[in-house]
Amino acid sequence: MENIEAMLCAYIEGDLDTAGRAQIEKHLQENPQHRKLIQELIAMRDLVRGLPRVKAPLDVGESLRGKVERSILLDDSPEAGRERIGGSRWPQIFAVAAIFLLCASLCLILYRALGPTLRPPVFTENVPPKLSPTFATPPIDSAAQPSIPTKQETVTAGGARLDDRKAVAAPPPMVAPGSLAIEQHPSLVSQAQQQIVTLAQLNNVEAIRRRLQNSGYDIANATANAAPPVLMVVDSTDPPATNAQVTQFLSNSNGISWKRVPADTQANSIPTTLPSVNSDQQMLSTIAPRKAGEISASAVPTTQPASDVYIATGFTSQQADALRQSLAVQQNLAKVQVSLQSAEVLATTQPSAQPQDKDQSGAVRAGAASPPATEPSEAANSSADLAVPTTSPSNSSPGQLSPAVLMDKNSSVLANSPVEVNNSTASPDGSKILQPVDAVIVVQATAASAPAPAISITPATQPSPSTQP
Amino acid sequence: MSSLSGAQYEAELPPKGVPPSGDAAGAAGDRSRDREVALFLKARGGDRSAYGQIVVLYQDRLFNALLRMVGEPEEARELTQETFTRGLEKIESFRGESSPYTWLFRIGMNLAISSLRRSQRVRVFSLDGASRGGNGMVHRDDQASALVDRVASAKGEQPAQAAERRERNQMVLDALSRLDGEHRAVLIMRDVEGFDYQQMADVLALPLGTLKSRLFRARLALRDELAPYLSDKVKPK
Repeated sequence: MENIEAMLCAYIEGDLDTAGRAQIEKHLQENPQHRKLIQELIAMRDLVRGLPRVKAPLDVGESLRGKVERSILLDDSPEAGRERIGGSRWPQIFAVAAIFLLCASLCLILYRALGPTLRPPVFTENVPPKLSPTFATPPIDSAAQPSIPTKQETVTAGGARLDDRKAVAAPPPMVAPGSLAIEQHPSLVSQAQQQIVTLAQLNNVEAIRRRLQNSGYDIANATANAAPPVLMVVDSTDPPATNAQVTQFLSNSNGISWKRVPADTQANSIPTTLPSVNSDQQMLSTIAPRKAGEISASAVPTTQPASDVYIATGFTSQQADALRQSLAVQQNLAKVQVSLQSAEVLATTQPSAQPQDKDQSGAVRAGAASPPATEPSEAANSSADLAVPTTSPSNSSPGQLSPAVLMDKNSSVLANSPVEVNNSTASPDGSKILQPVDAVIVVQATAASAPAPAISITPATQPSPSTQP
Repeated sequence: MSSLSGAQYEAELPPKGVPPSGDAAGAAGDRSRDREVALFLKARGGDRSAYGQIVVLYQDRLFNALLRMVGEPEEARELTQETFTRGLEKIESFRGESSPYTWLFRIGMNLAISSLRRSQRVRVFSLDGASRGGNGMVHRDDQASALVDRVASAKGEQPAQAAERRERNQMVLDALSRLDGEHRAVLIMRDVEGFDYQQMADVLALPLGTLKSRLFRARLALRDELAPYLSDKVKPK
């Protein structure tokens, strides 16, 4: 078949030999339709050959010739000329390398400039009021605190403060709850840590301190670090259930290593004195601003078990919130109160520095507001136990109360205790910054199930009915 | 370098419609080829002015062939430049076994076929006035139109004859553009470029018998494309 086609092609082209041509013509005489086909193919050939020729545009060879001429003028080396004409790839390689070096240099500069921000994450929370009740500070009432100076304040020679509204009442930037932000300055961490320091409400500070020391955790050394540990006090009417929840939470949390501090066996079975207040009254006592003398409760002898203490490392603000939330969803009727504060209260070794007063009825009146409790094991340090340490970072005043949040079984926030805010500890953007820190978690029992107490709350501004005319 | 012009090249073109395989054209072709080979050898030895002469010598012919292959003047121009560029890059591989133009044409034809495979476009182009190109764009082939007018005036054609010839050429070009690349290549090499069988075999790397068979089938395919036109216009000789 291919030979026949080749022969027919040669016949059309006119270069077939005589014998072959005679053979083809003989066949075409016998088959007129084939002759017609061959005639059409010859006509096709003539049509294609009759197509006009088109000259190249003027610039087809000009650019190439220009390159050739330039190569002649610049360099006689044929390789060099060939490279110029043939489009050497070295310029492209150099360009890519230059871009790469530029990007690398830029990255290096950025790394050097932003180096401090690339350290382990620091968590920022917006201050008030929608965030975690534990960490959040109640909104600052600028009218209520006109005398608190801030860093933004400008004091004129005449004493008139300029830009008060901006300095005091300016709302903090909105940050989504739980959002993370990069630390802007290391010193802000310590400032922000100081922001959450409030009074402890521990029943037995000295016992807990001793237990920590016995377990090998040097609380004093830890608080000297840049990121001092925090103290989470969990008051629960059902400590076993709360302990189980804490244990489960710590076990299931990523990034947290924890251990349970063994209890002091000498203190477990010795009765202690605990104010008998029911849960509602305790809540009220936590909510209301308390001063010495405002609360007088009859101390009812009772037995208080030793607190459960956990040491957790790598504790973040989100995890603190999560723990608080998990504790708030107890299935029974237990009431849980969680407060967070600096663990420096545990590092203080002068428990007797705080004064304590006892009224004649035996009620404990502490300088701070937490319900005092004593364990017999710490009888020698009873004064320290009764007087809740008010040693807080330098910017905290003894009158400050933690933003303790009372939650019922439905985990609803009942109230925030009033808080005095020292603006000097706030970060410039109005947010609090927390690093992953160690946390000392103390689960202690409250007397919610105790019988109705003989307690009376007498606000200082409101006279008692008996005294009213 | 500038002594080699396109006009000089056109004077060296084989007579239109006659393949350069005849004896008369053979002697002139041999002389021309010897001179071209000498230029190529000079260029390969580093004489870049010799390569410039080669560019001037071949640019019109190569551009015309590539234009018939791809149908788009702009693409043909780019392919022509790319062919010369690659020819200079690979000039060391020229052994002188084939014609220098055949060697360059092979490069250009491979580029054109690759371009056609990439685009997969059907091109329709015109020699006169504004027309629709293969890519659907209307363009004006000024050079072709001017050439048509010049040839028409030289032949003393009547306007009706010139119009009929332009229509016929347009039909042929349209039919060529609808052929596949292999058939189009052999037809252009044989009927447009006037290659002999050996040159075509060198470019396509085919045996002669296979080449002739492909050429015959290409003519059949073109005839099928032009069958409606042939039935009305073409009278068998």
